[in-house]
Parts: sequence; structure tokens; C-alpha cells
Amino acid sequence: MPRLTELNFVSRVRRHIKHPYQHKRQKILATGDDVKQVNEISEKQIKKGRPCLRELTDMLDCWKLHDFSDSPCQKVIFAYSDCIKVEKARLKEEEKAAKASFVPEGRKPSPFQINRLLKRYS
Amino acid sequence: MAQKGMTKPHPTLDLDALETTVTDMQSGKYKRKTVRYAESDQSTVLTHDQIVRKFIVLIMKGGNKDTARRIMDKTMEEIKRRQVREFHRATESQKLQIITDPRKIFNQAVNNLKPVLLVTSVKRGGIAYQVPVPCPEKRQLFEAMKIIKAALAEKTNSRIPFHEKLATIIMDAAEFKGKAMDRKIEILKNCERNRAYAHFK
Repeated sequence: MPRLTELNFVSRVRRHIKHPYQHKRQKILATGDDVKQVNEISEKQIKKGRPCLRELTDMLDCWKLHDFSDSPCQKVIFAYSDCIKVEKARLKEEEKAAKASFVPEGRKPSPFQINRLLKRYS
Repeated sequence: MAQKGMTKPHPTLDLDALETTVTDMQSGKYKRKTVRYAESDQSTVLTHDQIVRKFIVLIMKGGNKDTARRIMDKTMEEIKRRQVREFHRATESQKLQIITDPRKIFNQAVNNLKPVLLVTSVKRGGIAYQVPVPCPEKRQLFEAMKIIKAALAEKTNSRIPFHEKLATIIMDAAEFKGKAMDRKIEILKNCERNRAYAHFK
């Protein structure tokens, strides 16, 4: 299977390694940039936002004022629950769009897609 | 039990939903031809309530659904008797406000006990923090029933029959007072105490 990136020169640089077979997993290129070839990308790169914090604080303030009774705080509770519903729907659509087309246009590929491409072509 | 057909969508048991005409048969819900089997204690009868059925399953111990169902029937009867007694004693203007249907009172109590926030533990740097988190709708139902179940487990000095205890808890919860309401307020107070960690999740 032909490679996408042609390796001109590969050298085994001596480094502190924990496991004796670690050098077989990491092939180090002897170029100016110390590039590390990796088989998989971790999926923790996506930073998830903290939605609906303002509505949450409003609700907690209202509860503290009225001693946690529901009737004077109805408006604020509905605002919070509506905000959560909207955020959930938005997240669902984003996940669908990220997984729909395998090579996405105009946006960064997700780690899921990058790992699949790496498995295919390396 | 994992049987063939148990992973499919639930059947509709609302009479209103069954009697409405469907215009768009190709949309997602009606694309499927097969539907999950209904349980033996579910029915489309007018006196059947899905929420009461869930509560019976929660009360049940050791697979004795018959005793759980009988307890629930006794509580409904007890609620009705108390409300009818109040109805006869009340003045004419007050009579309009008294609800005698025990199912409505039970649904109202469960709605009043649904918590909007819950507390989960999140580990950061070796320490477990209690973080307030929004509660989804299905879980809210379950938490409300769990609050009632926990209020039942409290010990009292005098020996009260189980169905009378349940009846008092339900009727008080429908009016925003009582043991179950105190438990719900404790959950919300815990969330308010830990509001500084709300951005952790």
C-alpha cells in the first residue's frame, strides 16, 4: 500500500524510553522539525462549553430570596429549562453534521475521522 | 428479559394519541413497522395511568406486584375518602377548588417534587467536588418518585398503616408541604451551596 507521506530518512534517535519496545511504535524523522508520527489522536481535544450559566445563577439567586419555593420563581425556571433544551438540540445537530460526511468541507475533521483516515492510509 | 422485539419503540397507550389522525406516515416515528410488546399490566383503559404503574413497580419488593398494586389501590381510596370528607364540610365557594380525583392529586404531587437540578461528583486534581447539573425529564420523574419512597422509609413513633402514610405524603406534596417537599428542598439547597463549581461540567 503506497504511503501518503514518503519517508526519506528515518533514524533511531536515542531517547529515554520507558518500555523497551517503544521505539518500534514511534518512527522519528531526522528533519529539522522534530515531527512525531502518531497512530491515533486523543478525543479530549474538543473543549466543551459551559452553557446556560447565567440562567443557572439567576435561578439560584431567586431561590435564595424566596426560600426555595417554586411559585415566585416560575419564569426563571422555565428560562433555564428552555435554554437547556436548545443547547441539547444544538449539540445533537453538531454531532450529526460532524459524522455525516466522512471528509468534511469547510471545517476541521473530528478526531474520530482522523483516526479512521490514519488507520486506512498508514 | 432480553427477548425479540424488546429494543423497539414503545407502544402508544394514550387514548387521545390513538384517536388523532396521522397525516405524515413517512416521518420518523411511523416509518417503523414493528413496535415493542406491551407489558401485562399496561392497558388503554380509562382508569389506567402510566405514572401510577411506574410507582407501583418502585414500591414492589421481591416480585410481589400484587401487594404493591393493592397498597396503591388502598391509598387512592384513602385519598378519595379524605377529599370527599373535606368536600362535604366545605362552604360552597371552597367546593369548586377541592379536587377529589386521586389520580390528579398524585400527578400534581409528582410534578411538584420534580427537581430541576441534581448534584454529581466530579474529580479534579484528586478531589471529588459536588457539581450542580441539570436534570433531564425522564430522570426528574424517577427522582420525584424516589423522594416519595425515601419519605416512606422514615420511622414514626406511632404505628400507621402503610397506605395511610403514603396518602398523607401525596396529599401534602400536592400542596407544597410535608416530608417529601423538605427532601426536595434539601437537594436544591445542596446545589445552591455548590454553585461555585457549576462551571466544572
